[in-house]
Amino acid sequence: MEPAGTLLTHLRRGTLEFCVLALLRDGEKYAVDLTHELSRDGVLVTSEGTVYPLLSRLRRDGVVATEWRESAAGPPRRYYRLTPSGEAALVTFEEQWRRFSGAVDAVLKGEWTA
Amino acid sequence: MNPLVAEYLARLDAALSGLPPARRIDVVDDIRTHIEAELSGRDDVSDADVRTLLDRIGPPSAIAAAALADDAGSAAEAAFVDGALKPGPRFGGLELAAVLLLVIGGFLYYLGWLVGVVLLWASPAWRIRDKVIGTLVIPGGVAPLFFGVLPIPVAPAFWALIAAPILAASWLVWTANRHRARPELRREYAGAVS
Repeated sequence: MEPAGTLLTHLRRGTLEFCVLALLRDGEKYAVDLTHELSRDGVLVTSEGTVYPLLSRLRRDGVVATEWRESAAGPPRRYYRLTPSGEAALVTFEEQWRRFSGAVDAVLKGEWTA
Repeated sequence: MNPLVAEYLARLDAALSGLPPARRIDVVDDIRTHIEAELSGRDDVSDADVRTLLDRIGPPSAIAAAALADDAGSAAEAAFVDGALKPGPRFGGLELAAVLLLVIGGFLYYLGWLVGVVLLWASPAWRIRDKVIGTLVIPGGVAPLFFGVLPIPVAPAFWALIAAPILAASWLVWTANRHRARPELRREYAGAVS
């Protein structure tokens, strides 16, 4: 049996990036706020820093865009927002995720019949 | 810069040595910006505050593991997309044998040509249309001319009959796998995967 930590790592792969996109659905977010939200309970990410490699890839993939803005207190802040291709990827993921998680739930509850 | 922060960033940079340089710089810059933002606007930052912050950000090894896993994941996905669209070389041994046998296989008592036709239809490199062209335009390859199956032709017709199979063979070489590598198909498939 896999330890719980390894299992979570596997489950995060392929889903975490869409959690980032989903957090941006209602509008842009400041990078630091984004990492705080994602690491709130330690389920989605183990620590705040592990979000940044993902953010860097999402920028390269063009599913998010960023903008630097001056801040009243402190250094300039980087804001993230969804691009049209990011929105499309999120819609596709959400459809497939509902199907997938519904099927897994049904199997776990013993409600999966042929 | 706080020495604890400088030491942390140095360890992070070292831990990320397995990443492409551009990615490595991206991640270290992002984390440094994060730390600077978190520590700004505070009157008095103690070493304990810095340690608490660095704890929340996580050990460099965890960030490096996340970065390497993410990189490996995307690379594997890209390879999968490539492999699904282009299995093997564009013009592999099977295709080479097919074209050669179609053109000159007739010299081997026509059996060679027959094998060539079988290989032509077995290869995934050609569309049906190209397979029909390959089969019809090269009836027995160039061999019939020399075996006297066809009437001994006058000069221009003779060269035309020599040229036809060679042109058809060139067409097969040219079109092999072209339909599989269409960029819009690749994009469609990549979209379906990610």
